[in-house]
Amino acid sequence: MNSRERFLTALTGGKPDRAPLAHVAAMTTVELQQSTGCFMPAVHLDAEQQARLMAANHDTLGFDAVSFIINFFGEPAALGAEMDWGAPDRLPTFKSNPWRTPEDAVIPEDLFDRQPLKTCLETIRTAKQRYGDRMAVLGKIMGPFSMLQAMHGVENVLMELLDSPSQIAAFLDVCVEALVRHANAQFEAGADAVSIGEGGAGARMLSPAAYETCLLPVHRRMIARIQGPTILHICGDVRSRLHLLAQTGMTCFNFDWAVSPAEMTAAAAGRYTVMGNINTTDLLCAGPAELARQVEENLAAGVHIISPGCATSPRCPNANLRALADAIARH
Amino acid sequence: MSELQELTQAVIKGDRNKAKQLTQTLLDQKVVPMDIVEKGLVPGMAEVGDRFKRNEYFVPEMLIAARAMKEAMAMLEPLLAKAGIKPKYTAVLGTVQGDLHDIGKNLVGMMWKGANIGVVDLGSNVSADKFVAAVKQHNAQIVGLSALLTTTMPAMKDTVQAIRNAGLKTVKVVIGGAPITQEFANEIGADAYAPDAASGVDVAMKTVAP
Repeated sequence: MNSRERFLTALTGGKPDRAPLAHVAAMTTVELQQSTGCFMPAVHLDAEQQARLMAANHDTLGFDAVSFIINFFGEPAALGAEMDWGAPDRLPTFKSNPWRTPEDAVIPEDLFDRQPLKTCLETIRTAKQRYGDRMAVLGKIMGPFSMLQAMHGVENVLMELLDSPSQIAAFLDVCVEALVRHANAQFEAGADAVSIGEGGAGARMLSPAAYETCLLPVHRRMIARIQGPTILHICGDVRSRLHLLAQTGMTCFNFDWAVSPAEMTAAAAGRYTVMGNINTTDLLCAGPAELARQVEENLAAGVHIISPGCATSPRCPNANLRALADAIARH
Repeated sequence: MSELQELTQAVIKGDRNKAKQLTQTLLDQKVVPMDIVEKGLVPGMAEVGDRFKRNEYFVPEMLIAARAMKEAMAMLEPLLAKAGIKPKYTAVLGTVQGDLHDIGKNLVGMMWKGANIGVVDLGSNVSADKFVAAVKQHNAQIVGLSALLTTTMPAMKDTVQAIRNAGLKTVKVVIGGAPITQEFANEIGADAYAPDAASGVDVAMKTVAP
């Protein structure tokens, strides 16, 4: 099995020769940028360089499935959110929230000609063409609730969830339209799967009841329209809503270290693939031995795909990230 | 139920209009502004914090409660200043560079103000140099650093280092945020770690006056 076959087999519920290693949130290192000569922030608008950095995650760090580098901020940037594009050791983030009212929420026809989405799609095409025979190429979109927080402001969204839920519903409808189009464009460009970054719906951000009422129907409707495998990522202790996440229709759930691997696989009960949950703080601060222990714990619990639990700091040592692949190989 | 108790309930429910109305009623009754803060508003936010810790409240409920308190505080702050009531301590507060998330930081600021800690809020995406300059300018006793993302934790380390390198030995650094742990606080040389906004007051007070 090559890396792509291994990843897709595990993603779709089959039995690969060994557990694959993947990342869905942002992952690059300063060391990799130095060794490839491809540096943030320039790579975010340069498909050629970004594809090379993606390949380095496979070739140097041993990841079977890799995603383009930018974190879950592509759609807001294309829709007018002012960006801080970061630095080699700092990921991009947005600085403004351009939507005031639902009337502001308009998706332009030229969405995919706007940056950075144009580069994201071109990066997927380039990576697929150059490296697609040896690694899985992943796309990514924001989750609708997270996208709305970027476009309308986090506090506004969370308070209006209680003050004016109909306005939030109207905003979310627009987000879903943009995100479905973007996800399907990524599949057309060659993505093997698309992740959905819904960190804004983290465990403390809204109650399980609010998730069930306001967001679950939105997730279900969106995922049903995406034409390929989906990997939903939500940060934090999601145990109180795992029974709801199973109803979204996602192919796979990417969980973080707030949930133990054994609890996660028990909750999934074969209804979806489980990906996780290496602690990203430990990827930054601990050493290879601790990271190998976490890989072993995940494999012993039956986690299908090993991955960092969230975005990783560019200052993570290559040795720490490489330790994940080495631990899987030793298992 | 007394009006002060009703004010506490209004904060807990996040009813900002009732909180403002009750604050005005209490002022009309010549209740001392500091009593309105300490016996009406602060117990409300303390209960909200406890409910958050018990997973009964989530961030939206915290936010509307904080909004109710903030709007009531806006009516009281000029009166507190006029009465010559000065903050016990001064804190500089911000989210570290590269991190735009400010909800946790805003809630901590609200809690600190309620505990009569003067807060200089630098906002989000704040560089280490700006923290150092603000501590010097305001002669702060406390610095609060927030980070939501693992990816911005190194900026927190850089900021603590910059504060130490600037020779600001007496200022106490309190850190918090979703990925932050006591171990990380120890590693980067912070003085204290607050696991959530509700704990921020106790942690800051114990750190600055153990």
